[in-house]
Amino acid sequence: MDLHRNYIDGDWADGEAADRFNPSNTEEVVGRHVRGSAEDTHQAIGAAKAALSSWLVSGIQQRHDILKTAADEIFARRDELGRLLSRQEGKILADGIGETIRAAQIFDFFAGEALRLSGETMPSVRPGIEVSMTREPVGVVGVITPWNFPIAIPAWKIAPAICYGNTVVFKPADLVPGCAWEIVDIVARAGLPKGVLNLVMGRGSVVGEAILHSPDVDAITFTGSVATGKLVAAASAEHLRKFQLEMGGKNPMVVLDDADLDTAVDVSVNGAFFQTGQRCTASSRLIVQDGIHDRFVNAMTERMNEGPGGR
Amino acid sequence: MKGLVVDDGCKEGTHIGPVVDADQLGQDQDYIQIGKDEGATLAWGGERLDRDTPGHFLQPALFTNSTPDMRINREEIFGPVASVIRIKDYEEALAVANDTPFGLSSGICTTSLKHASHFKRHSEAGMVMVNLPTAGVDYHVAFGGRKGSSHGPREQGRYAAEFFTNVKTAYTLP
Repeated sequence: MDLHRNYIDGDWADGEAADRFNPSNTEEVVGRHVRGSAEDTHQAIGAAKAALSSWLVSGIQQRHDILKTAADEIFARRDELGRLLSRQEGKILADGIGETIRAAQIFDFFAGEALRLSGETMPSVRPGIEVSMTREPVGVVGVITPWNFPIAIPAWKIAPAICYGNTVVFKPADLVPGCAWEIVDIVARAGLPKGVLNLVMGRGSVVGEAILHSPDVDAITFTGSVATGKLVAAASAEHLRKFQLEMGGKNPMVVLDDADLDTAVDVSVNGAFFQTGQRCTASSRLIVQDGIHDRFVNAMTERMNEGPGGR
Repeated sequence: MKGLVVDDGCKEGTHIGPVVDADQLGQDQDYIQIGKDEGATLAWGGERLDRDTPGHFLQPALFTNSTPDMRINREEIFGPVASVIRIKDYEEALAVANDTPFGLSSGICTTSLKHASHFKRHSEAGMVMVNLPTAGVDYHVAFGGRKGSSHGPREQGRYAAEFFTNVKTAYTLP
């Protein structure tokens, strides 16, 4: 099995390696990945900081071309990457491929956005003075992503970071790093200058901690648990840095008496159980009105019942 | 589609793949036990399943007779576990829907324009779905929640610029 290394300052960096297993078959190894150290993380942050001064003034055509090239390769390899995703995370193949297509679409969207960067100019309230408002990159962005959408969430954090001229230290979920590695490899080969995107796979308690407590990280975008989100918030407050958290849900689905029963069951089965309920947007509370309650529960259990070949 | 098949994610015909790992499986099973202990009725599922390959397979689980104060209705399980809360009318439904520390996504199934419109306005979630699953979003529009689900600017679409850029205001006397 190929060893997948971390990507720091344009080089593939060695380290302690560990196997990842298929949750559909725990005897099947589906990847061998390096687990980075705190020192690796500091090097990655240093590389991102050093690359910032030239990347923040890079041309929008260059940014567009890199993001578009990455989008095209992700889309072209959707079956292969989707299968890798499904074998590492467990979701069904259609969802693995669908999520890979989504990642390609996100890179494509931000390729276009790079060409549409704009600002505003307006008159001052003081005659003769001009005022402008423009957008500038935040700087070195720490990207911390969860295991449940291992290609879409990295895409929707990394593509805009690059689009708007930031440099990145990326720590994917330790459990499912395969697609994260592929995305970094694809973007790197698409022509991104060294140091702009750095990958440090590894444990949250090591790599994540080093990102949280670095004074050189200007912003952190995090998706994951509430408990870890609070650690990101506390550490970011200490450094007075910008942060963004997407955490848990306990999402309600209301079913009223006047609902179409088939729609309500379709929507509830999908929301509650598809992707094994492992979505932050999953419906875990089905709030059902008296008059439709028994019909709804009966239809739900009938739908959940396995067909031939059963349990 | 009749029946939900739980099996290897890459196998043809599977609707629901395995739980991601042993820790998450343990958490799901713990919450199924908690739901039973709290007095909810396990109406269907929740059993470990054996398949051709050793994997973390779990039947989806549906609780009925659950109440909003139960832990299974307050804490995120992050598995194929859902519970039904029975309510009398729309007003109670809205109150129960909002009775949570979280606020990422919410949904309503109804053919009433009045209730759909009211729910869209008064649901305390960042994303509201009418006759659509709470999961499943577009990439060109804002993604994010309220209350304990999210903090900071929205992700995705053009709103991503709010987080990934800082605004500079410049004054010039030519």
